Amino acid sequence: MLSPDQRTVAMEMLRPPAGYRIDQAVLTTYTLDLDVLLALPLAVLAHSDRGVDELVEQPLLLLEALREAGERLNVFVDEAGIAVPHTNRALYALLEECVHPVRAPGGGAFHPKVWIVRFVDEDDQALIRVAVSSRNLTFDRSWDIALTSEGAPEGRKKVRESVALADLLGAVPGFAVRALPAGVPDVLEGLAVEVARTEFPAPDKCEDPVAYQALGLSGETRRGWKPDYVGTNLLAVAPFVNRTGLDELVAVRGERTLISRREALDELPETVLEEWDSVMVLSEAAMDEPEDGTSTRPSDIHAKMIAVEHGRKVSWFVGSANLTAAAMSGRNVEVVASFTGPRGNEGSGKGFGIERFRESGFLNLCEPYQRVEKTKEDESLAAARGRLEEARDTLVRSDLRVRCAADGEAWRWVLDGELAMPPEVSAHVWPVSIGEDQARALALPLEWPLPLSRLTAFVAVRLSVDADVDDIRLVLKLPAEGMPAGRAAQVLRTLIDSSERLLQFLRALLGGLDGLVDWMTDDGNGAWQSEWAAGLGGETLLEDLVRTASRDPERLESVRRLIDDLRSTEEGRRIVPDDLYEIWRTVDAAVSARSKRLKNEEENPK
Amino acid sequence: MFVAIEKNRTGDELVTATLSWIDLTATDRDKVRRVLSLFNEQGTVDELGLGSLRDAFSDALFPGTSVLHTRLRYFLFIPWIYREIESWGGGYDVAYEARRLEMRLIEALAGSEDTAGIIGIQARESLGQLASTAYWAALVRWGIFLAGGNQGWYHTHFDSLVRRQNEVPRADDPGVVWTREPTWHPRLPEAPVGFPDEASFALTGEEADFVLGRIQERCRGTLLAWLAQEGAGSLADSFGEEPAALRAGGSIAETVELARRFSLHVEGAPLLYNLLLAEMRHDVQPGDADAALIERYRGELAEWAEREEAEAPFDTTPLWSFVARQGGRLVHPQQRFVEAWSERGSAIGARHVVDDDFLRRLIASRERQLKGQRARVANRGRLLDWGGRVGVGRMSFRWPNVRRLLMDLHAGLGR
Repeated sequence: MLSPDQRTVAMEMLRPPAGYRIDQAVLTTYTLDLDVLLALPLAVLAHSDRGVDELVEQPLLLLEALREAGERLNVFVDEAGIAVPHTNRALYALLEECVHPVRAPGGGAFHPKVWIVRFVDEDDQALIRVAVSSRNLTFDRSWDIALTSEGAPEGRKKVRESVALADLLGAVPGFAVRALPAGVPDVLEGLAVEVARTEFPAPDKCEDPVAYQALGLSGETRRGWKPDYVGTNLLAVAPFVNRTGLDELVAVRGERTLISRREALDELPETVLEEWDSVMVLSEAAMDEPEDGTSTRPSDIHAKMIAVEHGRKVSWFVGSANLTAAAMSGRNVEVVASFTGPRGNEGSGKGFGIERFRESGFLNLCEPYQRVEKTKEDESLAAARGRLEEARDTLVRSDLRVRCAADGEAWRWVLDGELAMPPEVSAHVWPVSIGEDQARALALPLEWPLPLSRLTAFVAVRLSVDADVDDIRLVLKLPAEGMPAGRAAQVLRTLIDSSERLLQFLRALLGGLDGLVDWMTDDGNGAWQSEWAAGLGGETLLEDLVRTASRDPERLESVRRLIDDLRSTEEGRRIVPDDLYEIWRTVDAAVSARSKRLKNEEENPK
Repeated sequence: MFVAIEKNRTGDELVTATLSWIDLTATDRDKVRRVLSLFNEQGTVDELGLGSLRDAFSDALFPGTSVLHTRLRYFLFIPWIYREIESWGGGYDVAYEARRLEMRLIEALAGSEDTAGIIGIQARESLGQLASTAYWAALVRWGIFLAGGNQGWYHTHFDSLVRRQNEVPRADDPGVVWTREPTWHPRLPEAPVGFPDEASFALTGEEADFVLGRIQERCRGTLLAWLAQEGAGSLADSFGEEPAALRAGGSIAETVELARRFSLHVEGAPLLYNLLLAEMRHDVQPGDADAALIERYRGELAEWAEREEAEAPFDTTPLWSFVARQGGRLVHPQQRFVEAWSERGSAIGARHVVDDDFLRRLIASRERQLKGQRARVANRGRLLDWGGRVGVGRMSFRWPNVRRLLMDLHAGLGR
């Protein structure tokens, strides 16, 4: 029961089960790292087990994966939650259609971390997988949990336990800060209808399905949310806690255990913790192992869960809600999933009781919390931080936009709009597709000359004050006018800048996306590697094309797209020499003729 | 985006609802697992960042091995499981089927006479890290898994690898570029009848010969290969005292000696570190427990100093050449730390280390450099939570695990 070495990999959540493919994925998050989004489709399509950091360094791979998967992905993120990426990639432009900033109607944060993925099989039968997690779409390493389940929509009747999830999907388009791309609201509505009719089974041996709850959808604040049961014995885990949140839980009789972060517990008045029988934190030895050269950000508790025992059963509540007033009162949008199961017997290894959780070994990684007197923070620092946060809120709500205009070969990228920033806060901005060293002080309008491939709707902002507090850095996605079509093709062109590169990429592409991943990330250990290492010249290209055409004609689709895109620009035509193009056209024509013939034979058997 | 049809052998539905800890990528998950296994090793938590040096020695002496290894016959169990799945042809969910077979193996071993070291005996179905994961790198290193990729890669390419093994070269593919390398070593002995529902840790003579052959082929010139050949059914508790090891000549003996000397030389550092913590905490919160700890560490340092002074002064040059030969990275802060420890220690004499200001400051700044705000020397809360003894102990270089593997090997060779 939640033993620490029993772990799921989030990327694998998107992997279709046997016989299915991805149709749509809707992800919600509080904070977002654009590189994670770039890597997601790739990790899924390439069936790759490699670290995301390696994959993200391969722009050609990303481009291919994004083009295949991009239109099936929709990510809803808090309007102030997009992080400034570490690198400036032209590829972020391709994410613009998938990323939708939203605002919580209650005035707090849009906080839910829910992944809803719709798969379909050959007969177009749908399967829906839902993961409710405590994890945002960032590279942060921390102790997070997820409750995953999947089911098929059935019949016409709504499933009571799933309705809240459908409500979330129905409400989210209304939270969007700007108009959503055409088609997105319909996708969400369709998904909502199906989710409402889907039962999501709970883990083994639990009778009832997983019940979902969505908080903060209407924007009204109400009495604090509580777990449904007043039972005996309680376990609560959350990285952020405050008095209001904790007080809601102490109605439970019996033993109460709290696991949180040191920093959060230090802020609480001592009396609050007296209500808890056992208060623990993660041992530092369980956080990152000390390694020279790595930044020592510890991977601390981030999971948010509550377990309440009642009789022979126990109910678990898992999700995005911290034990704070904002989370539980409806100021934030949160999603919590719950299920009820048997407590299980001692030592049996089965069951979901708090004792089973203790036996599983996670508590060995924890130690009792010992309060340490903190020096009070300098008030002026707190005030400075407050000013920064106010400035960020003003910024996020102001009316800014991007305009693009052609200027000969290059383009003018202009940031314009209405903005009233407080004077003590200085703001610098730059388009994410260029380096931070080119940031300029925010004074509207601002203009940069950019090549077409670098035009973007994502703008990075750095806010600072004259005090010893960290800058606030975030990315805004702004409405953009005058964006030219064909940016993807242009980005591709900048990545394939010579015939050699083209040929290499083509050869790897013919091995399929997973071949591509291996080719680009291989460290020379695989024995099969030799097939690509030898003869990267064009002489064998015809052979490869023909072999692929006969055995795996679907793979040629990516090649077709690549060549078409390149040939659509003048420089691209120089990279795809005419003779290569002729070879391609011959193969392509043969393949389409064959498939037409096969189709004919299928339809008119002799 | 289509996926090859995968099916479960008996047509069961694959389990769909789970509650578990979640990492973003497989690499992150592996990092956490490494942290966890170090954590479980108790006293060998690497407080001063010398772990990579210790690992360099462990890898040079006993390549491919790991602290997770328990019994030798897993080097055969895992290939037998995968060969079984390969024999079904393609189209199966390999990870799922392999896991099921490993579960059956656990049951079989639990019913056998010799149950020491069964991986997964407690956790069973909820086992996070399977035996195959723990042994995979070794299977590659010893040349038992020939296709050479990691386990995830193998699962992904399983079907095409199986196909390639069965492919007859076609007339229209002159000079076919596929290298038809088998996945598992061609001379791997057959699985016994009844596997995996009947199994034990006792290797047959043929199996032991096979493993010995692999070690000799791939780990030539290492202490592991030497002891596989020359060792006996019973081995000493420390390889420094094992007679068979002492008979090894040449570069093996040099490596053993360097490992022994290095381990002794730096043993004082965590002792001084713990003494420092005891003194700091005693200043803040005077108490008998910490006073006793101070005495104890002073005693241990004195005893260490005696052993250290009986040796020639430690020369760091062979250490760095060794690391470079092993292909390891020379990490500057680590290198500076070891050099400083060594130089100063030689200059003042080991018995004066305990009271030396320079070395005490060196240890403190090393911890700060590694752990930042979480360093116990800088963080009152962490200091108060200190359990009294961390990171202390002579490096064993995985000998307890290797010893068990070798004893299994010799038992098999004797059959």
